[in-house]
Amino acid sequence: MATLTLPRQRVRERLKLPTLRADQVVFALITLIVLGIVVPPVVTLLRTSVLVGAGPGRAGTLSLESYSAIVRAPEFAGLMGNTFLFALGSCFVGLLLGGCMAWFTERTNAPFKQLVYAASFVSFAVPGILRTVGWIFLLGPRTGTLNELFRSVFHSDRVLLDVFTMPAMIAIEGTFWIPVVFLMLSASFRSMDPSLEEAAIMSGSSTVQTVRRVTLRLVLPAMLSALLLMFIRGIQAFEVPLVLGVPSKIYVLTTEVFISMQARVIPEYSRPAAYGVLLFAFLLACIYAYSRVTRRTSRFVTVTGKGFRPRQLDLGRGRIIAGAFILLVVIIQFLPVIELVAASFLRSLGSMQLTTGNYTLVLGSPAIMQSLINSLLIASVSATAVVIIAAVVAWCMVRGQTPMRGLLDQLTSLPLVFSGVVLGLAVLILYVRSPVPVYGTIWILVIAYVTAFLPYGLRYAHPGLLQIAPELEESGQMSGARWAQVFRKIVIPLLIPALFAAWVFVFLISLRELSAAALLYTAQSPVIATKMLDLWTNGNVNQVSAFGAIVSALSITLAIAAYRVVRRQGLRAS
Amino acid sequence: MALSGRVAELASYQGANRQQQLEAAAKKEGALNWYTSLAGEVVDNLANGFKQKYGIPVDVFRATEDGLITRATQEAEAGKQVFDVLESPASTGEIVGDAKLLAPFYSPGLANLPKELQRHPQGATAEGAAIRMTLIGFGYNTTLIPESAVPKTLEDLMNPALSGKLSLAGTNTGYRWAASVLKKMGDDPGKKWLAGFSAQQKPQVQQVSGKAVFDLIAKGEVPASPTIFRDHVEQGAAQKAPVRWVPLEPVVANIGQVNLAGKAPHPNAGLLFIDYALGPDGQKVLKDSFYALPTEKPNFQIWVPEDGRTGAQDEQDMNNWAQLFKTNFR
Repeated sequence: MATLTLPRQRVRERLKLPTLRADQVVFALITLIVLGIVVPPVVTLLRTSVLVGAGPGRAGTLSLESYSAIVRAPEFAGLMGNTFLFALGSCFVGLLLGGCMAWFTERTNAPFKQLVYAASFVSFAVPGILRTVGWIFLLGPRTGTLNELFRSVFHSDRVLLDVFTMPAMIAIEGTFWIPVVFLMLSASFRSMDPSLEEAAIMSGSSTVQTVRRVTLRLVLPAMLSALLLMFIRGIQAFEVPLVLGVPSKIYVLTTEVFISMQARVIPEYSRPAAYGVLLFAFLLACIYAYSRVTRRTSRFVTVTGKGFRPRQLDLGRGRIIAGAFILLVVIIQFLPVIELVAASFLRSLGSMQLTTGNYTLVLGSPAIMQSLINSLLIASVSATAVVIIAAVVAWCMVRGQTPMRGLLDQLTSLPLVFSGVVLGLAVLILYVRSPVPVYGTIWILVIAYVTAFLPYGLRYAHPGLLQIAPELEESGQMSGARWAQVFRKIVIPLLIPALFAAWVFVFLISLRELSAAALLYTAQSPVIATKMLDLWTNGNVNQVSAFGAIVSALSITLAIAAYRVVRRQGLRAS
Repeated sequence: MALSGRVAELASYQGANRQQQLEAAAKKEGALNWYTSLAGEVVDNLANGFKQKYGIPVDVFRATEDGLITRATQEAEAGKQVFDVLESPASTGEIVGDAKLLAPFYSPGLANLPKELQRHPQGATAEGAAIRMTLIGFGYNTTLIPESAVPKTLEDLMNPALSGKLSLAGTNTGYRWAASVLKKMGDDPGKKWLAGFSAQQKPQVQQVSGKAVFDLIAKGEVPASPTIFRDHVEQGAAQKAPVRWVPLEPVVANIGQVNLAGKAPHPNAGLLFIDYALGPDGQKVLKDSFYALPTEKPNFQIWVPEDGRTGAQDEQDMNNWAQLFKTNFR
């Protein structure tokens, strides 16, 4: 035995030096790349916010005037209040509905389980701007379909819900988060050790008591982290506040950044940048809280080596109610899309004449078709770039020996605090006056999306890599493979399921993104979401619905295809 | 600069073979980027008409006036020239032109156009030429607003019967309308009236174009608005929508000018498009869509905000009016 291990160690020792060097080189390179992606927007934003009066050919003066003007403005308190109320409200709505869905599907014998999974995946893919417009068709105070239905059924002159109010904004934004909460919490419900609940029942607890005292407590950390994440996303939300809030003078920070960009004919960037820094700092604090909460989560270990299958609660007659609830929540998520499709066949809103003319018009418009192609291209390139960078960063964090790898993690996660509109603003200022000719091309959007979605890519790649034992890579090295070879031929193939999931996720969110794009697109580089917004604000309502129907069909098809692949991979893995 | 010189030289050419040269070269360019603040079907109609005539597809980018100015100046700053032709109320051309982003051009249609409807006319060339006049007035849904509540003057907008029923376009259209109140009543009384109007009538601000607000009126979602274009209402009425338009003096008149970009990527196609818009074909499309010609004299008092103002003053006005609107209506 001794004679066998000795040469192996020696071989390892001899190999150690070059292996380590590759590791360090890769670490240094990827750190530089990530620095190059993440730092310039932050610096640009800070710098612009303190340069007042800068413009084409004017240097501007160093001053904190923009900040003091923001804080002194009479609408500041209301603005902050709205932002909080909207974010908190919508994350509670999302948590309540998504949490119930997760509990029903994972821990009870409620029906329609497969439907919930598929629906969560698919509804996530539909752009928010499209669903927001769909909700206007449904809940417009005077002619919204649901409000008219409500009036005719109850012979009332009131409305079910006016879409241009804060409660409606909260409810609609909340429904957008159902799939995310569902996917986050269902994992946590699934991996919960049922022996604790069984012990409670054995000791005479009722079902309600068990759920309240045991199940909810076990899932509390996951709920808290979902809540915080939703809150952050709620602060960053853009479509709903823009399309529903602004008409009724309900402003939040993101719309304020966007609108203050248009305050002057020739834009003055200082004020919007100052709003952006405020938003940035605020979210930084939230993310810090989030990281504290999730760090604590690991203390409530739910995944152990013990094999178990969570107990499924028999709902008895409640099964029908649960089934109805599930169906209702799924329908609510798709109702705006269905409404859009229906509206797309009307000759004009309010008329009952049917036509396919809207589709002819949309399909015949080169700019609309261009936006589709651009979006698909931008989403594919961004997803690919994110996945590659994230895989290397994850490798450095998991396998790397460098003590600074924690820093790399934080650096890569930093863009989480960028709202799309703030990142869009920073990237715009950065490249409008830069010799790098990306402004006015789709590449400026790729830059923004890679920056914005890098943290998500890492969240997929990191745990994926943690699951893979290092032996395989070591044997590759032993056989004389260089770092790049090992990475390409061993790490990547093993990571494929995680990377594919990351790719799909980034692809879908890039496809639907509006807030960064709203500041970065030009006539020659429109994307789906900006085209939708343009058609809407310009009053081409019929084209909005026809284009919306096409986009829905496209994103739903893509999501279903991805869902099938992910499911097959999941099955194979298990 | 060399490129800009090339466009200027091409644009001022008046030789007998101008038309053939332009058509041949435009075919090679094969594309045209048109920035406009026009909204509604007329945009597609103009673009399609041009495509039918010359076989060149038109890429239209539609935005508000200040949106177009922001784009044009931002793009110039980034060294990225996108638009060939600009079409927007005169102030847009004034501001973009003062930033040295336009080229003087010759077009056969210029000869019939009064000089005051041209920007920097010089001999047979100009840097801008008016093609249409759009009028901002009170548009309403006839099923939701009784005849007795329809205003005849700006002051009538305070009628309690209209309270809670009015919307405003939160774009340049709305800003100009607010400025027309000051124009009529004088600065301080006008500001006071706007504040009172906002407090008493509680108008909704729609962050969309006047055309989109009109769609809401036609649909019945919004009963009425003083920031509605006459042409959209007439188009809607022709399609049997329950809508009507009345002028509230002084009626804001947007006189839309066409301009050629100094560094147009497709200057030949751009010139052909300008010829088309100024000429009988384009004017017919506009007329069929109920647009007024820039030379029309309506039987009510109109106000052209750019009259007697320089580009710098226009920019100042636009910023001030945006501020005026936001102070009162947000």
